[in-house]
Amino acid sequence: MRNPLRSEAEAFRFLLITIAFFGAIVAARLLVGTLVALLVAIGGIAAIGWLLQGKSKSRSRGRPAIRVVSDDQPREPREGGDKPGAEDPSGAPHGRSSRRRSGP
Amino acid sequence: MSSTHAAGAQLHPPVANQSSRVDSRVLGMLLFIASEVMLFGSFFTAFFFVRVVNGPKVWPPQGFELPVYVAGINTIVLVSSSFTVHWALQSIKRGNRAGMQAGLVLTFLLGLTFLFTQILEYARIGFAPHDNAFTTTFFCLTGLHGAHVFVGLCLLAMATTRALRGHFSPEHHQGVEVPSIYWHFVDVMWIVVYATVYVL
Repeated sequence: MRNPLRSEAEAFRFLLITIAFFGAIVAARLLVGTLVALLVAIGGIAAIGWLLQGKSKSRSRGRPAIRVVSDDQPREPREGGDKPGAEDPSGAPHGRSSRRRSGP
Repeated sequence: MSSTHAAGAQLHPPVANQSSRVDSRVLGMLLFIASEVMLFGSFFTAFFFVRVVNGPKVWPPQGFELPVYVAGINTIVLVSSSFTVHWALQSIKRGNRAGMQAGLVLTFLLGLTFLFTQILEYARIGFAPHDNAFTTTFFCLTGLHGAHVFVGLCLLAMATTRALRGHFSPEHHQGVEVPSIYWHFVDVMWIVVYATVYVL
């Protein structure tokens, strides 16, 4: 979730959202009743949360993915040596370390 | 030995490490606002506690009446001041110095109007903070907000003075932006206070 008061423009937008949100609650309370106002409040909070989640997800989707490759990733089979254990004299399967562990 | 010479040759303190992407002044204001939200939260907790204990059917308690319409007009005044401060910042971003000055002066006057109206409201409201728990929480919440309006007015006065002296430019306007963020926060808090204390 992004900080809504990061800049003046975002703080101003946050103010407008607050006015709309409380305006809806007050209108529901005065025109219909307390229970409806409560439902509007809960619905509004859920909607704002959903919107913020969606925004942060779309923002993270736009970023370039960082690929982290560990040593344990399975390697591409080489030409002429794609049999299991062909590269490794110990016969360990691909993606596993062939190093022997010493005792505890 | 050579490292000692290198340290001695350094005539200024090292550049401060900046671990955040947010500017340190804006970050300071954000942390301050976060602490303020917690302060208001504790006052709201006390208010709702009193309200629940008294019974939610009749609120405010019988014999007490809140000036909803005067406070409503005051709300419009304060919300307008947020628009004017936003206009001031947008003006200086576009290089319109006169717009910024007018916006800041208008914001300051609107804030001052709000504060004086609240003082008048206190004088004519007809009850005192020591009457009962409701009046205590009412004065605490609105008074706390009023104190924040006063602080915001001090910040705005400094920004306005600097603006009238020819400070700020489209590239450098942090001195307007930081008080503006604070002013919007004060406005948001008033929306919450007005809705919960006066109307709901």
